[in-house]
Amino acid sequence: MRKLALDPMEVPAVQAWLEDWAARGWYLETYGRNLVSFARGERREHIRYRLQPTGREGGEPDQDTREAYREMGWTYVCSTVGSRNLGGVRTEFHIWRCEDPAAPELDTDQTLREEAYGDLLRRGWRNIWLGVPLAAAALALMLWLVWDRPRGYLLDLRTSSTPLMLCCHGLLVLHLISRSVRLIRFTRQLRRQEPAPQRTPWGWARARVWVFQGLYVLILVVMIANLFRPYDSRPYLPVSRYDRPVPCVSLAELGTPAAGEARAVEFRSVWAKSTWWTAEGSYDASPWCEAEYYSLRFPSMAENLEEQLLRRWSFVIDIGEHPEFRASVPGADSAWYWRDELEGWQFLLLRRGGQVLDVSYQGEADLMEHVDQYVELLAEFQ
Amino acid sequence: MARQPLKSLTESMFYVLLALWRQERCGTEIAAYVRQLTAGRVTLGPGTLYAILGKFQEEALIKESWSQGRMRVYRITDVGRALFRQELENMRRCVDDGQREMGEEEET
Repeated sequence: MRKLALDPMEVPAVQAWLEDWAARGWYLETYGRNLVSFARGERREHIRYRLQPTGREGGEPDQDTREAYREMGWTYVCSTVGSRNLGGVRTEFHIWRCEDPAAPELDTDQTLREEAYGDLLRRGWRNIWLGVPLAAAALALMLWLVWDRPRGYLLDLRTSSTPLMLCCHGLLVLHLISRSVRLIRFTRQLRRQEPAPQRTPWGWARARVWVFQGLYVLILVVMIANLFRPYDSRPYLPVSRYDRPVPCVSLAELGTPAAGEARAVEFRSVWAKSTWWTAEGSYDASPWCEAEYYSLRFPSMAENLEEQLLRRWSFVIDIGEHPEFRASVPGADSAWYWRDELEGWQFLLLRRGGQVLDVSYQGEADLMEHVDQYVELLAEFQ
Repeated sequence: MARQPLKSLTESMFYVLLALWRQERCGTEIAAYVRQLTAGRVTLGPGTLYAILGKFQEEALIKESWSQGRMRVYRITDVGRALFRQELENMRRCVDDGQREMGEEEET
């Protein structure tokens, strides 16, 4: 039988958990990073399991040590895996089992017991002092990628993976910190010579494992899902294929000859209530039109998105730096219009509350003459 | 902060040195001797006992005198005896101070 492994740092809870399984006739065989295996045996009460920190060297106890412990009633079962690297497996705790109720406790000197936790404790503090700033820096970097870089921000309006990853990583960091904090509390209890319990209820320890293993699985699933279906692999479908209205002004409505039906693709994410990309025609032949429509959950994000979308044209011209391209359009909170006389490209951006519409067009029509149609579109989809 | 070795002994350490004062013993004999001597008040679990023996060997307080198969027999060294005497002296002073203070209190 295999079970999710409780965090060995929760020493008394793990000891109680193993003892309770032994009472049901399941005996510990191996204790991996994620899974624990049990073997069936006869049900026996009064079986004790004890976790003993391995110290800096890790490894497993040698045969002489095992034999010496056995003479005093304690049998070596296995060691918990702390980490794996090129040098092999580094163990964190040896697990010993005692079936003799009359045998002494494994550790009878609280001072020495506390000293034995010294190496783990140092690692716990290192996790806190190094891990917290590193994790904070990583989170800050991810947030910056989301909020400040156009590509990151725009990507995120089409997929929920980044905010999801952010939440998961945040929770995992909390998990690592709380793990160290629990160990530090436990060893402080030993140092104060307070009676340290050998058993504590393990329900919460198990719940924590389920939550954090679930988070790891979620992160894995999101990564795999992104691998197999990235946002840019979604197909554009003809607008008529959608059973709901699509925020689109067609070339026909602009009064230029239609080059086939407009196509659209919808994205869903936690930031945007609705995101549509539409396209009609192709770059090879005028006219063509592309539009991106965003209805954001938080209207305060719309100004930021407007800024990012304006920056996208910076390879030709930084529209946002030219106030003369700002247009006054009734019904819109903000509007920008730019026409490239050389290529005949037109760019129109409208913001209204939490809605942002970005239109790129090449053709005979003048987008500003049709701006009312776009404002109506925003009103319709509000 | 780890406890400084060689400066003070825990109760378990004290009794391990005491067990080796008169004769060489192996680990299980030390544990049995201490239990018998203290009438069960002090017990030495294997984790504690072998941690102490390892530490004492590192600090040259004891030496492995011989081994047979997996059984190892230890003896106390001169350094170990000196530390034990010092510890015993400290404890005597503690007891004397305590008794003196308690005696004065009882007289008043």
